[in-house]
Amino acid sequence: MTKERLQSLSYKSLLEIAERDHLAYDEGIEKEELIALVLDSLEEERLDRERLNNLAVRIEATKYNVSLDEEFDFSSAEEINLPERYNETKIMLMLREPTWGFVYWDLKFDTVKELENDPSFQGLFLRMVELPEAVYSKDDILDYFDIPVNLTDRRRYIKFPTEDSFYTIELFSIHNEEEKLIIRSNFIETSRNYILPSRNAEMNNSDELVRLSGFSSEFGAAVPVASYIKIPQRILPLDAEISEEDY
Amino acid sequence: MIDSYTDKKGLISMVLHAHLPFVRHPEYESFLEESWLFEALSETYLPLLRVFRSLEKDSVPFRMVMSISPTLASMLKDDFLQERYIAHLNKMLELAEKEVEFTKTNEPESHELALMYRELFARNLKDYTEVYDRNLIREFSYFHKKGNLELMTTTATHAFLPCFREYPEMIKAQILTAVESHDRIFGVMPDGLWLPECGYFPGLEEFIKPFGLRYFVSSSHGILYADDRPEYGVYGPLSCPNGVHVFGRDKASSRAVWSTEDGYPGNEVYRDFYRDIGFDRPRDYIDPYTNAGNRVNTGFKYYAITDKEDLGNKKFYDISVAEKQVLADAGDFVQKRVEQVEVLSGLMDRKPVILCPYDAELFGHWWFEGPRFIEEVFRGIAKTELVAATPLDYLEMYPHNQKATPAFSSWGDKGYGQVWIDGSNDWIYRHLHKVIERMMELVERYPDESGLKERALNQAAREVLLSQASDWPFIMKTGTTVPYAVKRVKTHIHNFNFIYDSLCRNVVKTEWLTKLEKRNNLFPGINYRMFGKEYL
Repeated sequence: MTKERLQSLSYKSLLEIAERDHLAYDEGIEKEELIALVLDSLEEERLDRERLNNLAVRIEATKYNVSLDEEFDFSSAEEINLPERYNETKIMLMLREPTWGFVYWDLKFDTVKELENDPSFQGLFLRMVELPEAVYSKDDILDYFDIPVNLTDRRRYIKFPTEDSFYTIELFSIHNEEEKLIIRSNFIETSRNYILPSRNAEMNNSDELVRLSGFSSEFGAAVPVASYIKIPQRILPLDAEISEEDY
Repeated sequence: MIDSYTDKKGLISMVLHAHLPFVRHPEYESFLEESWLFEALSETYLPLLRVFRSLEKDSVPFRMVMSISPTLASMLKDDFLQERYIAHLNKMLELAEKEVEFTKTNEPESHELALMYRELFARNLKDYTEVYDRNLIREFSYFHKKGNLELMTTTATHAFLPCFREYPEMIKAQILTAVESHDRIFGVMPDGLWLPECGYFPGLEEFIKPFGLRYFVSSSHGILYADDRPEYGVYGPLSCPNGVHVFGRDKASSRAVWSTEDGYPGNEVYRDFYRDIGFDRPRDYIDPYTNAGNRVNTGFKYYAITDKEDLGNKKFYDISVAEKQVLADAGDFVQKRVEQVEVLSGLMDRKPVILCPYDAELFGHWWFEGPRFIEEVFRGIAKTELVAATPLDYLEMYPHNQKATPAFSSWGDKGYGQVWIDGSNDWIYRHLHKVIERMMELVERYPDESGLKERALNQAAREVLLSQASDWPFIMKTGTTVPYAVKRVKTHIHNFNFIYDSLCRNVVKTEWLTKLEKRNNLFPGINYRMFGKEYL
């Protein structure tokens, strides 16, 4: 989105952009000032994107590049509104990375109404439950922790305390200090991000081959595989080199 | 094939993954995002085919893998998009003529480049219309039949599968549709499956095996963090417990090409991607050729990378200097692989395989000199103790491999699902999951429909698949053409919901359905029943 492009837009369209981007402006703002405001905001967005997206992502994104910056879509006549809710009680847990998950949930309209009208209702919370396998058994719970949520909340990112373990998440309501289970999610197994010892004692050179696969700088790449931040990516951060001694 | 490998020390397996999401808008006179395909055709697919022809002409042995996504293959076969591409090329040729005239007097430093672009577009038009008769699929098939290309498929619409692990019916539908589409378009069943973004989760191989697919590709850490330490690191495949093999990406060769910091494409003599005459020439000069009503890329780029910080402070591109550099870089790449194999073969009781997977569009579109690099790499490999081979060749030599299950992983930024489950795009999953559930419900309710209802159900299945493309959340995260990506997800969900509601009310609007079938016309053989629990 260039200055030239913004100048070609009507004052009304510029106001729409400012509204959409939640930009603060004085009533009666001049068109040129409005353009400057939008340009500053776009530049900020661009820098944010560059901070957030590493070079690999930016290279891949060129496949979809048609212009220098994100373009605004003014075809609001075709605006499609999806249902905000599906009138269902549901909870879904998704694994995002070895130690973080994403959970979204919803409650039936009637359930929400009931809770709102129930004088004993004190609130909702999510309970993250760790288990040794993907089967729920109260007796086998390894650990759990609770996260208070509001009736209007629908989604959350949650950190898992342990790798290589099983988790499910439960949604509870509290009534007069009593917990009441509303729904339990699917199970997810958190992932490991470390190299296991070998099951086969005869793997003579596996240490060296694993080192060459992930740690060596002999052929132009050296990245430790000890933490997810530094795992091999499309573009490997230069600061990720480690010395042979560290290995 | 493998008899000729006996005197070779190691295998190098180049894998190019070619994919674009399905973008086809006959309802508009022109559509900006269709240029994704046109640019990839002009800058990547046609130049790559020329590379293959050139290697063939000189009898250079080359063998590699290409994964061509079902959505891309459908677009390559589509008459309407073929027409539009030809119109686009003619427009670019007009612009090239104008540029040749303009630069002759006003910008002599770029005149030679304007001539180069004119020749490039003219050649693309000639190749596309006369040499290939618009049929690039036939050309890729030709090299497949000759033994130069192994053709893989990927999932139907390039869905990032770890986001759908709770929906086995959907994963099955994505793979089944892909395999059937590949068979219909290329006339051959694929042996390998490219997992979109290398997105793997333990157990995914159970969905892969029933379709006769023998292998997939994983990121390096997917292999390294497997449930048993990999005996050969990433230099030999693992066999999942069910016998499907997984090959890991070699990091050194990936970094050499992917990194713009210390990878080859970042060299300042190579052509710059961002500086384009679409932003340099006056609007009234450029507008007639872009149909965008806005400044957009044209493909005419006259500058070398030089100054990475300041677009306005770049030096003009010099073709001959870039050509020298590409020869040096290809030579360096091959030499490093030779050194790698030298070390590896001393540690292994079998030949190592170095797997080098890349996005195809990286070569040519992003890295203008990329196709020449690939050509020179194959010419270089032919003179060494390496052999260009494919994962299937390796499995023919070594059918028995260490059994282990890889770890959840992807080749995306930070290595897992961070790109596809992010604050910018996580809103989509509530809807995407819902339409899968509803699709399954429709199959239960209408197990054996025919006529108009069957058409509606098949279109519903198409819309479900189209909504799941990994491209849309990727674009939302990276901030390029976000409104389009948002609109696409919403449109497919809306289309599905419209059909769902129509079927619930037992009123299917024939005219509306026909329009939609004509617009989103991929997967003609789709069978909505594949979303059923018992299907297959």
